Amino acid sequence: MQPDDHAFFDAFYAALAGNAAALGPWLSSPAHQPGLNVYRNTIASGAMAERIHFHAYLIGACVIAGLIYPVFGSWAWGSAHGGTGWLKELGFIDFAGSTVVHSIGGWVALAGIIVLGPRLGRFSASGESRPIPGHNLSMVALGGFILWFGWFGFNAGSTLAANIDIGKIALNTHLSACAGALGYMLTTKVFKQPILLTGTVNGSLGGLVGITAGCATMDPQFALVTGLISGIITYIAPKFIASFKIDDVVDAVSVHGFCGAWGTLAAGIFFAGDLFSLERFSIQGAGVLVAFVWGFGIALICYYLIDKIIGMRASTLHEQRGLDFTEHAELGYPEFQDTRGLNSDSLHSQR
Amino acid sequence: MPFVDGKKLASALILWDEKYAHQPTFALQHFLRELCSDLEIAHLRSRMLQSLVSAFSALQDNRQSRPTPRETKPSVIKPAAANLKTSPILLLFMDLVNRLIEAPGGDTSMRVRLYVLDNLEKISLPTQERWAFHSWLNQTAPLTGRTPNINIMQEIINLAYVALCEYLGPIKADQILQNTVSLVQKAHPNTQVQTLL
Repeated sequence: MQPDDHAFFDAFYAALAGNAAALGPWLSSPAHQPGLNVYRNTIASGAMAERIHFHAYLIGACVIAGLIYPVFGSWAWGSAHGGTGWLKELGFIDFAGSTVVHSIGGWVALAGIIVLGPRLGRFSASGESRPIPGHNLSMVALGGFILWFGWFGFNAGSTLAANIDIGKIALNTHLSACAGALGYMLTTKVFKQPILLTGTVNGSLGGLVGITAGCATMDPQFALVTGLISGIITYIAPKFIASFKIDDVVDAVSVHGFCGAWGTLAAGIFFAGDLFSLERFSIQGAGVLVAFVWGFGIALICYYLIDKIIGMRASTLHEQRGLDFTEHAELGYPEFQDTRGLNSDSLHSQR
Repeated sequence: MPFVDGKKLASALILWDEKYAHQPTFALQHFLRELCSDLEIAHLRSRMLQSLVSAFSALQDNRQSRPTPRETKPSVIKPAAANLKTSPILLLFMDLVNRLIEAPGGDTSMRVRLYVLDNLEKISLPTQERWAFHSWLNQTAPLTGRTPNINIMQEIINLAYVALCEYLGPIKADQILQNTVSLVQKAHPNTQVQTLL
């Protein structure tokens, strides 16, 4: 369990109160909590890609970083007022953030994509799903490997101290990622579908997300089980979400939201020395539920207001031109795009 | 004997052209219902329907008996021949939209055309210009005269693109747009097609 993970919220509160001394714990890990916060925002950005106005995304990111995450973080990991968070007091386990980081990010993303609506033509009028595949599989694989590697720092670094626990945490992290990829591949075979590289990468990420809560408190064999089930979830959940005509570009809700929730439950079920405890499972379930209500609820209100006040959705003309150009006046793919006639100044004035 | 006087006939024609001309044939009933909401002619509704149906049938018979020139596809209007004063950018625009609409072929082309017509109302346009676009998209008259604002032309092209996305999916729509842009650029080498996108 993270002994001083309430450091961020303490520091935030202390800064407001002008108490410089209380900034100490926060300054001791200057990259860790902001890093988690950045990560959480990238989850939502992936889901909402290709149709959201950049400024709307930035405002949403401020709400996530300034309200949704710190408040839930204080409930699960600590407190702003010198005590301890109420979920933590109940015995809620979330070592490195399956729920605090990933599920919250996933639920925020879900709220965002519900408000935004699907990309043009993503679903036919009859509800048929039309996948829009990624443009560069090598990049997908490379991104997956970078995340996998980074997760060792993410999970093992959450001990906030160099001690013998790091070995087990790193092993569990690795095993769960492997099992996640395997779980996805086995499920595709069961359903007689081709094994996709994108799906396999998402399976491994699901395994990583799933193990994040219990990587320090479960034995390696259960890390395998946690990862395996996470991989299965990454196959089933995107289809479930798509059945509601919800367009999640990178399956962020499935990988982070659903696998994060499962991982948090698994941390209670497979807690070393107290396996299959109904009490622990109930507390974990309560934490998962609270995270959903808080994260999804606030994000839905926030994105709804952003949409009504300044508009979230890029116009169809901008979707046709590509948001790399219309939002940022840059070309993502200059080797393919022919925009000789597009004038970035006039585009700015049209926004 | 005419059912309505000249003024009412003009408004009936506007109603037909703006709202019903591009709809399936059963929309005739809706047109008459709306037209006969005026009590003065409500009792004539069934007779008006009979007259319209027989008039349409006669028109159809007349068309079928007339030989069709092989080089003229019914769905494509050749605006260049229609008016030599049409500006190069307008010619380019018409060619691009026609090709985008015709690219899928069959029923899908018809649905794309109907989608553009239906959603034309969402674009803010002067009445005269709206009429001109309606007639052109209905394939009853070429688009001639003053060149519309480039933003309006971009929006209409975008309507065709959105329709292609809706009916064929975004991948196919992007392919069609890219191919069509290449073809149109070859056909109009002196005008930059990208200015319309």
